[in-house]
Amino acid sequence: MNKITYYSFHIEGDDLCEVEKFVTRFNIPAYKDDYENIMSVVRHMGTCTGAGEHYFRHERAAEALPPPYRSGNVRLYCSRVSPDIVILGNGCVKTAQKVQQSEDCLFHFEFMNALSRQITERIVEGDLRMFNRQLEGNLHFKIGDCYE
Amino acid sequence: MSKIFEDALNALPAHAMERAAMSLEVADRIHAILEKKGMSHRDLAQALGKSESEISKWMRGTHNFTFDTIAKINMALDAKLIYVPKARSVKQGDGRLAKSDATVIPIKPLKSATGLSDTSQQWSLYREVGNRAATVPLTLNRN
Repeated sequence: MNKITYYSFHIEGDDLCEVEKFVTRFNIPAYKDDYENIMSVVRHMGTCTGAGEHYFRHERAAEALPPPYRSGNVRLYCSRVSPDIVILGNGCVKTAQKVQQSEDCLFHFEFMNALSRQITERIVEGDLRMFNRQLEGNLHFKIGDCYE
Repeated sequence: MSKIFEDALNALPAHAMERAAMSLEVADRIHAILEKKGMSHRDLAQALGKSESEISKWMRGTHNFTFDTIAKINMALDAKLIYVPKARSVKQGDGRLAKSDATVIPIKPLKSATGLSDTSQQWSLYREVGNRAATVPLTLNRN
């Protein structure tokens, strides 16, 4: 990937990082179109275009990569730190118009929002720096009461 | 890079990649034209008679554009979203040759045509191909 450095986050004690959970869950025939569309956008941005702001769906402090416009409700939550640094999270199937009413999405939505806010705070305070498409500094986060 | 993630990206079918690339390129093109013309998504939406939220969905790069949609956007933006190269261009002429019309044909140095008895009166233009003399259908008369 010569345009974007993709990060994901690894919850302590889990076998897979969050984007690996997304791949494992959605790379099945039932979600084929949605999954391939999202992952193709991830790859194309990473190799060709960079993370243009207009490619993302804004989800409060975080972002999400969109499912196909006319069908499918799969979301991949992420945090666009800069045009060349993107943190990929896990995804979900959105079952209601509002994410707050979608049980599958709510956790991932809130988790990525909390992470995005902490990243922004650390960048502002100087605990995190962006250099040469990399994040440098403290990359350990404590989110909520359960996750560190 | 995570092996699972890398394998997943490498396993994507070519047509899915092409589809994503094309849709993002169209979204980029609209974005660039809007910026150049100082137009907002709302302006484009109004010109197309659509809601702003629908235009924003197009900008996310996953909308399946139809020729109908593209034609309407072309009209609304007064610009071409997609250029299709023509197979060949036909230039309108005015019946006169210009320098730009010249076609260079590699011709060996002129020699008198073989088999012509009166070379003082007629000259043939020909070129040699291997050992054979190939004439072109042109005879020059010396004045």
